[in-house]
Amino acid sequence: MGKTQTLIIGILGSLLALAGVILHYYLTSRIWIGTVLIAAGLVFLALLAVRHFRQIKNLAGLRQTRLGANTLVLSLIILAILVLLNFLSVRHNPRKDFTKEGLFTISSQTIRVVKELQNDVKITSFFKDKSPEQEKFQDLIQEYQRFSPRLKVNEIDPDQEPTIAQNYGVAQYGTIVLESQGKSLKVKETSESELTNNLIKITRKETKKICFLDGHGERSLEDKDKPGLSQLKESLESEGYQTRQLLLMQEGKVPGECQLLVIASPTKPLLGQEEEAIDQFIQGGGASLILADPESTPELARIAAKFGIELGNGYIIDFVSRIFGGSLTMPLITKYAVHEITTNFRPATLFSTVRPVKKMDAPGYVVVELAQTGEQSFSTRQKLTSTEKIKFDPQKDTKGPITVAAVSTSRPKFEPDEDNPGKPEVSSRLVVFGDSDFATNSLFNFSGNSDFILNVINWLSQEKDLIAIRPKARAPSLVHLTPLQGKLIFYLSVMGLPLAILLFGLGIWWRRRRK
Amino acid sequence: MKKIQALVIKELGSYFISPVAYVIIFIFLAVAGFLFFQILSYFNVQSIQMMRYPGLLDRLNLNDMVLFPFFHNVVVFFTFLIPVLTMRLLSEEKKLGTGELLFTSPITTTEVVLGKFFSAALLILVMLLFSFVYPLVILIFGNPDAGPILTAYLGLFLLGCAAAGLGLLTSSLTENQIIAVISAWGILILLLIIGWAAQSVGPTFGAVLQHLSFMEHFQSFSKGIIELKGVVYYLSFIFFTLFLTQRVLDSQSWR
Repeated sequence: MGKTQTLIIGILGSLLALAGVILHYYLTSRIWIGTVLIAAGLVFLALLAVRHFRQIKNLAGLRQTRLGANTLVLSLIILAILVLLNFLSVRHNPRKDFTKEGLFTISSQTIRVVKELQNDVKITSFFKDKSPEQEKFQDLIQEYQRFSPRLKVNEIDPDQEPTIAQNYGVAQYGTIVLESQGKSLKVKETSESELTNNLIKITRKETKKICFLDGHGERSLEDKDKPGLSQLKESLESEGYQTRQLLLMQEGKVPGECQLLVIASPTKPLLGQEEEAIDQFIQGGGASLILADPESTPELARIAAKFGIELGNGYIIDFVSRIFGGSLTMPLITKYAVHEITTNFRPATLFSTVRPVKKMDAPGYVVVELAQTGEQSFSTRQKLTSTEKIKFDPQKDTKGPITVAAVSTSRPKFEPDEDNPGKPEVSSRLVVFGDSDFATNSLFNFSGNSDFILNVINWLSQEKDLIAIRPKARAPSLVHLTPLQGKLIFYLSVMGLPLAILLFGLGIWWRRRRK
Repeated sequence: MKKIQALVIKELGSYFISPVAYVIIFIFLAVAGFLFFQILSYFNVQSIQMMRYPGLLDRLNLNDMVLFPFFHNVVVFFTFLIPVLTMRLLSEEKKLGTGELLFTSPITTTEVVLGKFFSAALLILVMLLFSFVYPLVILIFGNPDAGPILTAYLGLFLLGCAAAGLGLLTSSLTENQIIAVISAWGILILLLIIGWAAQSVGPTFGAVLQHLSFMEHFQSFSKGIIELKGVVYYLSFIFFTLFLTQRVLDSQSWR
C-alpha cells in the first residue's frame, strides 16, 4: 500500500463525509442518505488512522520532525472523526426523558402531526429574552423540531425588536405566530395542545366554511354600513375561514360542508321545513350560532328552547352605559362565565338592544350562561318612550345581572378517555346571543367585541381532527422539616460529614508524619 | 489491563495518603452543603407561607425549586475543583524526574495516561457519592422525582471526567503545577461561557458554539433528560484530551 493509496483514501473519505454534511443541511426528507455518506467517510478515515498508527510505530526511530508532523496529522484525523461523530449525534440526537411525568416528551399525536408536515411552517415567538416562559417554549419546540426539519423557529424579544412585534401585531409577551403558505395564526398559550392544534389548523388544506343563513332579512355579510357584518367577514377570512350565504329554501338542508351555521337576526319568519332543517343539523352534531335581536322572528326562540336556552322577550336597560355616553339600552358586559370560550377573556363588551337569555332545563344538554350584565341593569317589557323616564318596576321587571348569551352542548365537557385519547366526541353545539348589533360594523371594534365573537366562532367550529393533550406538570412535591429535623440535617450533613472527612484525612497525614 | 489497574491503585493511594483528596472533598462538601442548606431552608419558608393558599401549594416542587438550583450552583464550583486534583498527576513526574523511570518501564504511555485518568475519575466518583447525602435528605424527608437527580449526577460525572481529561493534558504540558491548574481553569471558563456568544454569531456558528459549551449539555442532564449529543460530546472531549496527553508524553521520547 503506497502513499498514493493513502492520499486517495484520505481524500475520498473526507469528500464523502463532507458531502454527507452538506446533504444533511439541504435534505429535508431522507436524511439517512447523508448519514450513510458520513458513515462511509468515517470508515475510510478510520482506516487511515489505523494505517498511520502503524506507520508511526514503525517510524519511531526517525527524526523528530517527521514524528511531529505525524502527530499533527493523526490528531487532525482523530479530531475530524470526533467532529463528525458529534455532528451526527446532534443531527439525530435520540434522547430519553427520565422525569416521572414525562415532562419533556411530546405525545404520539403531536409526533404524528409534526412528521406529516408537508410545508414549511415558520414559527415566530415573542418572549422576553431568557425568561422562564421562553425556556419552557424552547424545551417544547426543540422536541417538535426533532421530528421535522420543516419547523423553522425565529425568536424575537419584543423589547429589543419592537418593530417586528408591531408588524406582527403582537402586543403581549408569550405570543407565538405560526405562518405557512400565506396563512398566519397567533397562539397565546405555550402548551403542547395549543401548539399542535394550531399546527393542524395552519397546515390543513381545505378551509373551514361558515354558512350564514340568508333570505329572511338577516344581517348581511356584504353590507359595509353600520348594520352590516362586512368587518366580521374580513376578520374571519384573515383567520383562514371561508364564508358563504345559505339559502335554505333552495338547498333543502344544511350542507355538510358547513362547519358552522350562523343565523344573524332574521326578521322575516322561517318556514317550517327550514326550522326543521336547522334543528336536524344541530342535533346531528352540528354547530350553530344564533344572534337574536328583540325584533327578530319568533322561530329562533323555538329552536333555542329545544337546546335548553330560553330567549326572553323585552330588552335590557343598563344604567352603567350612561357613564360613558352610551344609551340606556346598551348594556356593558364585564362578567363572563368559566367556559372554554371565555378562558383568559377579560375585556368589556358592549351590546345594543339586547333581549334577555335564560338557561332552561333540557335533558341531554348542558347549558352555561356565558355573559351577564352588571347589577345596575334590569330587563323590562315596558315601552321605551323616553330614556329619562324609565325606572325599575319590581312587579314587571327582572333585576340584573341578566344573561345576554348562553351556550348549550349536547354532552358534558369532553374528557379524553384512556383507550382513545385525543378524539373528541361529536357533539352538538349552540351559542345564542340576545343581540346581533355587537357583531355588526357599528360595534365590532369596540373593546372586546370582535375578540368575543371570534372566540365564539372558533370554539363552535373547532374541528373534529383537533386533539386534546393533557397538559403536563410536575407533581407537587414538598418537604416538611420540623425545626429539630432542620437542625439535625444542618449539623450532620452540612457540618458533620465534611468535617469528619477532613479530620480523617488529617489523622492519616499525621500518622504518616510521625512514622 | 493489569498494569493500568496497578497504576490506578498506586495513584489512588497517593491521593488518600496525602491530605490532598480529603481537603478537596472537604471543601467541595462544605460549599455544596452550605448551598444546599440555604436553598432548602428558603424553600421550607416558602412552603410554610404557601400553606395559607392551598391553590398555590401545587406549584411547590422540590425538583424545580431545590434540586435544579442546587445542581446549577454546584456544577461550576465542582468543575473548578477537578484541575486541582489532576494538576499534580503528570507535572510532578516531570519535575521530580520520575517520568524517566515511568516512561522507560515496560508500561506504555497510553497505559500511563489511562491509569492516571481512571484514578482521577474514581476520586470524582467518591466526591459525588459523598455529596449524594444532600439529595438523599430530600428523598427521605420529601417526595421529589428521583429520575432527574440520577441524570444530573450522571451529567456531573461526565462533566467532571471531561474536566479531568483537560487537567491531565495541561498537567502533561508543564512541570509547574500552578501553570497547569490555571491554564486548565482558563480553558474551562471559556468552555463554560462559550454558549453565551451563540446568539450573536448567527444560527449555524451559534449552534456549534452551543454544542461546545460545557453548561449547555449539563442543562439537559439536570432537567432529567439524557441526550445522545451530550454523552457523545463529553466522551469525545475526554477521548481527545487523553489522546493529546498521550501524544505529548510520547513526544518526550523524541523531542
